[in-house]
Amino acid sequence: MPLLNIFQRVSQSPTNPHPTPGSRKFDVADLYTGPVTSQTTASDPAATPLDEKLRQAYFWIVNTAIISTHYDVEYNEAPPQSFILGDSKSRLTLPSGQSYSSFVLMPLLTFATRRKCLFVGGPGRGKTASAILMGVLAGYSIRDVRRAMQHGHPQMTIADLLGNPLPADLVNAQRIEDIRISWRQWLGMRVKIIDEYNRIPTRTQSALLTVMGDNYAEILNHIYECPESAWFLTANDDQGGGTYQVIEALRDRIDIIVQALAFNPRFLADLLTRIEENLRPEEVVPRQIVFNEAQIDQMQLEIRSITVPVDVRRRLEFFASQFEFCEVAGDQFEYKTKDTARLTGIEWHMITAQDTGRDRLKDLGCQTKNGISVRALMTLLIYAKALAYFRGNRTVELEDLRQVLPFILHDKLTPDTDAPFFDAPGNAVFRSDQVGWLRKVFDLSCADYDRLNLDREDPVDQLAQEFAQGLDGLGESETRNRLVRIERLINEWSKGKKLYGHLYDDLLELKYLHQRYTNYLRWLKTQ
Amino acid sequence: MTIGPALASVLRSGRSDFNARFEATRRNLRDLQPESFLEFVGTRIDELATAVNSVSHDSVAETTMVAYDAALELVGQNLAGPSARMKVIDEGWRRVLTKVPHLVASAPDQIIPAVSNALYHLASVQGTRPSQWIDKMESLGPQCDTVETFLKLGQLVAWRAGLAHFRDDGISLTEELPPRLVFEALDASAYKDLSELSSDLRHNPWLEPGKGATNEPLTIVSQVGAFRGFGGLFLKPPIVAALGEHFLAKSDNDCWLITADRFGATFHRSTLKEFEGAGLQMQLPPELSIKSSILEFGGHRLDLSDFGDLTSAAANNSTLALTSALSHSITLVALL
Repeated sequence: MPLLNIFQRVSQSPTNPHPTPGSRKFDVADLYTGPVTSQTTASDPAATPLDEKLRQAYFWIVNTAIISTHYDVEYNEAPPQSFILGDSKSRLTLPSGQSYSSFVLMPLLTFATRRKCLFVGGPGRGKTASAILMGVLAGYSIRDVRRAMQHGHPQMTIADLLGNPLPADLVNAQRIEDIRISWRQWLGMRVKIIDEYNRIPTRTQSALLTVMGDNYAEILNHIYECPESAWFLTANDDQGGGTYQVIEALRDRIDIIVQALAFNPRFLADLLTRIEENLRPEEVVPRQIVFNEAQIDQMQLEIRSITVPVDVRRRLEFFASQFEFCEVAGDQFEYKTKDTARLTGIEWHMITAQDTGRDRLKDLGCQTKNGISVRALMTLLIYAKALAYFRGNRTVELEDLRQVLPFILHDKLTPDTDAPFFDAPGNAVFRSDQVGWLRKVFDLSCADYDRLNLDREDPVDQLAQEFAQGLDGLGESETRNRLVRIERLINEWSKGKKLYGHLYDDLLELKYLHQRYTNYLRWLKTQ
Repeated sequence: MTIGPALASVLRSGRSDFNARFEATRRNLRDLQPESFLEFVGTRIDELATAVNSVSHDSVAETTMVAYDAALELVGQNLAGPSARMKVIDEGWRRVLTKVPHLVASAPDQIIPAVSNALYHLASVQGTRPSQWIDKMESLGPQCDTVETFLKLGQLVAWRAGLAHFRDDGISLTEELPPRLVFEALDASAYKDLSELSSDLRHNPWLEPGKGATNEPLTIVSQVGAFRGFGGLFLKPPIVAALGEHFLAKSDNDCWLITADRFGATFHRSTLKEFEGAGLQMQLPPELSIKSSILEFGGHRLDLSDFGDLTSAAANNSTLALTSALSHSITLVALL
């Protein structure tokens, strides 16, 4: 019988108990489950639902492997207790629901969804250790994970990263196709780790971009197709403070950024135990929480099947529509975007100086220098689904979206720290706290959504739903009627209403609908 | 404290391993005290090792190792040993495990955790009778030829000792166990035929196997639940709703599912949503009426004047549940 190992304890199921539905079934076999574990009756790891296994992995990591005492992803089932402390009136909240540490949770969701996660933070805070743990969770041996980890350094070449042509072939080959390539082993792994990626030279970063973005590597016209994999990158500084500036396209491929928070010295005893026991947590990962390839595939399928309710999706739409609009950037309506201004290279302060009429304090769009990309929106939806799945739900809640949003938009939505919002009392702290700022902006957006009563009165949504029912069999008079309703709505909005981001997107949708009905009407007349 | 030669020999041969196990567990279970653990080893494990040695000397080492690991968990969590918050696990080891040494010897890794966990389960559920489980298993366990029979018997007796939510499985077990064990486990002296007993049990949750199917309808068969200040679950007098063969109770904003029969009643956490859903479906049998504190059903009457104002009533095929503004208990009335 093996020695009891305190590092191999896995949390008992259910790790996030939910209220049991009415038609429950009691099993007399439960009589013999309890504090004493039997080797012969121990539960079969393969029978554990994958979301439960993912939670067990999370709790094993936070309780045993990574000493992360920061429960910053807060959930509440009842109003939480909160306390005001210090001269700056800092608020400490004690969540009433099961809450999580983002430093462990977000990488784990990245592992489950096979996306790309960047760990940032000072040296020695567990960034690389966390990344290695993810490799071990995928079933690789600790030795394989360590060997496959790519360490960024200023002399790193494309050959270092991807592989080399065989020297004999280089001499003897008559055609380039005859040159065989010795590909680096890490390319075939399903968890890829790039340590200190901001120390990689720019040219090598471009090769890395191809692997990260398009999932293949190329040397001398030879292609290596990489399997779908989760990526974990580390950087001491995500603001480009490494040896080399990280190319923007590469930064944009990163789905989520988590910060390694400071170690709490109150937990020094745990470190002491590790020294005395000569144990490294990544070397003793319990086999119950290791996933095989099929399980990760299945987990991805299950995550994709999580539903996003319309009311949650609408709030995300409303939030996302706040930022791209820039009234003074273009003359034609479609070009009134921050991206238009950015592409011309015009100075940002010149844009903001022209912006008049709107309440720049209340307009959320004034807080950023850019909008949210399609990639970022898709990432948001995937991670919100993954978080709901992780919590044992089958439907995304607004809070799931609210919790993942700051970590995904961390590097995607650039704050304009000269905006009046940051000068308002109590808001100066958001200049340095990007996670807090993004959460605040989302909360303000939701409050605005509620104020406008868009859950109940959304004329654009009504028109869009009508259109979604299809044009088949739609008569001429009804088509004209709908065109008139669109024009009437735009006319109504044009009277005295100032333009804000969400209105801009609504107007573009109305124009889209108008154009579709106009084309249809034109076709009808030819019949 | 003197340890018997069987245990002493095993401890001596694996001294460093046993000590390492203790140290490793102690880092995780800070309540694991050497004195308490030593006492448990010197009494319960020693008794067990001696008993197993009397039937199979070769099994002593394996039994000791399993018992030692189980003891680390139990004593470390204050579930057994001199400072335990429940005494039944110690008693179960002393009275049940030592009486079935032939079974322990053949499968220590099944029997020792099973007995410990069953007693923990019983002691953790309000209103159950762990001592009844120990009495029955002490007398009937030695009659079991196989580990499987012993474990099934333990499940049947757990139902008998008050775990009413195991009722369906318990009735099924009566068909899988030797009849003499079933009759004795359920004190079914009124029955000679096992299929008749199973059928009556399935039909009537308020059947007393010792008396047979001679219930008087409209008899108050049980009062379940109590004020939280007196160790119960309810903060306020509860109200009830029917949910299939069970009931739901709501007190303040807390809800529970109640499973109840002649052997006991158990409460399981439920939700407000579930209670409200069940409340909407609530229907009393048409032949049941409550007029001027008199309950009438099938020509039988029950005077409820002592109850005070009734706050809720719910019924299924066999049981009527009543609550009153004056009590934190739920009164269960047999309708069969």
